[in-house]
Amino acid sequence: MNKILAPKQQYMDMRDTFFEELFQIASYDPDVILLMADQGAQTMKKFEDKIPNQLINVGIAEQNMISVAAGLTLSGKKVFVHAIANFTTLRCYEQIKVDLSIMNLPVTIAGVGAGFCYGSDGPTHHANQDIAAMRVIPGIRILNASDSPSLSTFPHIAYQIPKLTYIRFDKGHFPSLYNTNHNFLDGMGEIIQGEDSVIISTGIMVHQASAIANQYNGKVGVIDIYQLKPLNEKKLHKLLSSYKKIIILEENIAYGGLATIVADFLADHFLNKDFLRIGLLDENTFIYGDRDYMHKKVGISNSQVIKKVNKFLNENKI
Amino acid sequence: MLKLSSLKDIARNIRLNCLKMQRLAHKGHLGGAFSVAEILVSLYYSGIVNISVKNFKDPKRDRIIFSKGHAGLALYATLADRGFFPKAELERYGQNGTFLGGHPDNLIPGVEVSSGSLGHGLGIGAGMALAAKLNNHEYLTYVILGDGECTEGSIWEAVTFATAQNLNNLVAIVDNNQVAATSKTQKFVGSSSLENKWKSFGWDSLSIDGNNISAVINALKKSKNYPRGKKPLAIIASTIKGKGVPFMENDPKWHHGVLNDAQYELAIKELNK
Repeated sequence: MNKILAPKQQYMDMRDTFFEELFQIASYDPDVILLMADQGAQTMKKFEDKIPNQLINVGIAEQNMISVAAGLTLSGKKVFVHAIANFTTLRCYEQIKVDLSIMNLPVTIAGVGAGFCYGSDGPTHHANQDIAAMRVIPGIRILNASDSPSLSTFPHIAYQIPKLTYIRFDKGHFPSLYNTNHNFLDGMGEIIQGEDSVIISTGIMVHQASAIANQYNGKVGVIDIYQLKPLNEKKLHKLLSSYKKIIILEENIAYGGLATIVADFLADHFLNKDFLRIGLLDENTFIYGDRDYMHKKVGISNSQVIKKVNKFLNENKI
Repeated sequence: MLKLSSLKDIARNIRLNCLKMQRLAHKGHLGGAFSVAEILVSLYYSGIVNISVKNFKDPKRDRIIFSKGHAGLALYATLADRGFFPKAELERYGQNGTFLGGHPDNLIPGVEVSSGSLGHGLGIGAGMALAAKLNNHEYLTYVILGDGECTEGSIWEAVTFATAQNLNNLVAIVDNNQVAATSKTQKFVGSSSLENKWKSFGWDSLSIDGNNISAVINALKKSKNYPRGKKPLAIIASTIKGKGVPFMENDPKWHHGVLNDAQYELAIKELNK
């Protein structure tokens, strides 16, 4: 398989993107089963109406959801599980380790509510640690959607290339970053080509990274890493070859998430680049408001990031 | 089916093999391995449960999940004797490079599901039972649990799920030896009996003497009729931890205690009585 391109269908909500595409796959293959921990989406109705045997609400029981997924998979089913991102990763972390990773089962875990997507619901609902936690699950593939075209390919990637997979996405509408020619098996995309500096981001923070980069008149580029694991090191190496300064922008705890993934890559490849990580402090967030408000309060709003980037770009470390 | 006396001999041999394995490796959980021996003999030798070396890849075979993985010595002895792998491998238990770990993984021939972390097997079994229904297969899924294991919350998530999904093809067998790693389970399981707990969650519950092969076989025969009804079945098998060696019986010390020379000789003698 050389390419997976985004379908032409346009969606107005990220959840619709994922579940509509999954619905099409499940309609085609009766062995595809969607388990969900009482977490609805508009498309669920279609499953209920058209293919009711392929959607099972396990109740608010994420641990059992993963174990049941393992049992179904061991019996020939192709299983997707769904809940809010942090509940379907952290609540059932040991089930993912033991039942899925240890037994090498190609289950797909779909988590809605990346980062501060459910920000005003408080720290119980923030998914700021899930990437760090999932990254150390042996053999897992992590896909983090930045727009609808990228997300629309993820269930197809998971279905066509079976492997334990964590797909993470937001709800709501975001402008498209990718056109229909982008090959989503590449793991990342250069959204803006810059001169000597680049912001690397993931998920919906790529939009903010792009808005910020646009302030620098072509000097600063943007790379979206939507497949965080396994990292396409060859492509990242190539993309970074022309950049001297790297800025990481993410809505995750700054140590453990994207910044750590990129820092590990740089260290492993002896790449000496100036490096600035912009993410969340090592603390829980008790701020309630919309996403822009929260970003401002935690120091990652556009103007705050620009200030940090300006200072970083004016430093001459090397 | 083999005669009862032969089945009892097999149970004795399983225990003797467990002793030898622990002797060689200087590790291994004997207490729970001894309590579950008759349950394993009834499952693997009675001919009631449709599982063998020959049909192990057949999607229509019955499933046996050994959820209380720490008692894996008894499972290893059983599977080797049933021909899933050479008996000589038992002597490599605990040695460098053996494929028989301290807890079973599903790379071992005959092992359906990796276990060792308690509380996982019933949910996985529920998934297998659900798959049977979706695939129109008639196999049953048997899950062997410990009573200590039943304090894991995930067990009760699975119990609830099985009731909601009418998994009448799922059978839980609780090796109810009432002793955990440090104390009697009574200290932490609360006042309600296991039978009542499973019943109140919507399962049928059958209480038997789990160290009596005839009783276990009778329960397994009954389990084969369950798919005609709606409820899943819990067989609460009352057993004795360390069964067969009087000085080990009902003593948490032998959850994973290692026998010294004299204890080993005495244990062999007791089992051969």
